[in-house]
Amino acid sequence: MSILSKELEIIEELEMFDDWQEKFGYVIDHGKNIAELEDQYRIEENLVHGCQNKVYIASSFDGEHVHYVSHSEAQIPRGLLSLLMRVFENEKPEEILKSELDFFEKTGIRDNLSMQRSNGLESMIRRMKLEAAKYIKN
Amino acid sequence: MNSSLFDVERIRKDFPILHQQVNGCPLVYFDNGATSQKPQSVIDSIVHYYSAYNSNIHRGVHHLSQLATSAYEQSREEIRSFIQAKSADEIIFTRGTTEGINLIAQTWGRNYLKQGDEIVITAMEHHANIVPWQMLCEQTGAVLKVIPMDNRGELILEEAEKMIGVRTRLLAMMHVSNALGTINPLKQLIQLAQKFGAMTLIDGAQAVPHFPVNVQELDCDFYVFSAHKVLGPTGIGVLYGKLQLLNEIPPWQGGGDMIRTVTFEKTTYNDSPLKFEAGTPNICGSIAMAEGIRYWNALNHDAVWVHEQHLLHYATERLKEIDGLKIYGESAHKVPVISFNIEGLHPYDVGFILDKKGIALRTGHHCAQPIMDFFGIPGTLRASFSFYNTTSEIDRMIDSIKVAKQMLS
Repeated sequence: MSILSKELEIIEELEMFDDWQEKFGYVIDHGKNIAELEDQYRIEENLVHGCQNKVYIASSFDGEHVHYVSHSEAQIPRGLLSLLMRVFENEKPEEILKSELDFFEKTGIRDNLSMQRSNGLESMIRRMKLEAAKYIKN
Repeated sequence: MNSSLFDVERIRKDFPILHQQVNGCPLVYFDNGATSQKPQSVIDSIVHYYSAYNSNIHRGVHHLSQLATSAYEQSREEIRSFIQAKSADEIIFTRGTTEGINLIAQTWGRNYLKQGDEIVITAMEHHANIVPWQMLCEQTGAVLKVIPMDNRGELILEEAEKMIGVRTRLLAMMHVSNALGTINPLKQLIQLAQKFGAMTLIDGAQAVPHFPVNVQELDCDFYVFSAHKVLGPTGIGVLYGKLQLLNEIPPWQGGGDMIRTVTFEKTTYNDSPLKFEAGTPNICGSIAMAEGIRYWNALNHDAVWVHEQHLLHYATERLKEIDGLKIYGESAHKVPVISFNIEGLHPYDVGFILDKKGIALRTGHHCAQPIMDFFGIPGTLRASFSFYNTTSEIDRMIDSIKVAKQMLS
């Protein structure tokens, strides 16, 4: 499934909710899908700067697709992170880099974030793209 | 509460910002420890200054300059009276508490401290009363000592007695903790420092919004605070110092206003306070600050105290109803500040949901990371009340915490 179709799937899932409380309930629940991050990944170089709480992102490459592991101490960023993992997981690095994610805007999630949290989300997206960029051969 | 002494609903009418909706809910402002809201009279004084008599001060012979100079110097007098200083010359306008501390570190400290001298602070200090001293220690070879605190968030006085001694040159400590609310036993510690001839600098940023302060009675050498936490604007604050000391220590920044005569060969400096106010100061800020203090002066301070303590105790009891909620800072002597966490929940998540309900709390380390390390937590939620807050607002906070808990569990 392409990044775009995964985004559309999330938009569709969130369409059934009317208010922020339900939408963020969905985000929080989604975060529960993230597997516990092993200690070996909880290192300084995997820390995402620009987030108010500790967020780790690391990746691996199977020769074709990128795979991510991640962790956030707080549940709302963890939910946002899990949505990002869902769209970027098992995609080609070129596809990840050229994607113009807009499902946070289309679902109204972005509007509900404070500026600081919105910047934190941007830092997570940037970091995931930087990870993908590592696997592109010049 | 006797309503003739303290009518909170009438007082709330003086604060226009409180009457608004945030995220579709009436605003509940519980972030007073970060900054207080401003009464209409303070807001009006800023508009009036720029509409009627904006001008640069001192040395101007024209009408507007004289009006502005006179208002600026009257503000100084208002602040002298506010903290019961002996002379208006002991009141130096700064950008705020942080600048006042840095000024003393870089003037008195740089000139009088040497290798092996000791600066004593406490375990509950704000970063503003840690970092300037660490920088000074790097510059002079002085050593930083830290009075520890206990689990209730109270200083351990026996440890202070062991720590403060002949090598101590300065005791720099907060009057009231911004993160825990503890009111420190200041007089006792100042007297202890004085016994060894040490100087004392008090960070009063969190004290002045809650109770009257008398610097002569405290007998501290320096006392610093910010206007914006006590009804005034941001960007202005006060450094109080005993006059003799202020005249002895060298100036910090050089420029206009702080000089007596300037030639290329030699410059002579003005006396305090102008010696420490180089350049055009925050004229409007000082005038609006004094207006905030006039508002404070018109309140019945005993009634403010009773009302705020009632808010503190009411909120503490109601918070304790919530399973897994832990309060950090349980001193018997507190201003209305409550730091807390809920077991298993991250303060940022709870803060996010409270914000969605229109409730403004602070989340994080409150510029006091050593306190968070002491308790082994990343941060807390902090509700800090002012005299314009009400118990019904506290009820709304409790209801919203229950919603947050449900969403996050």
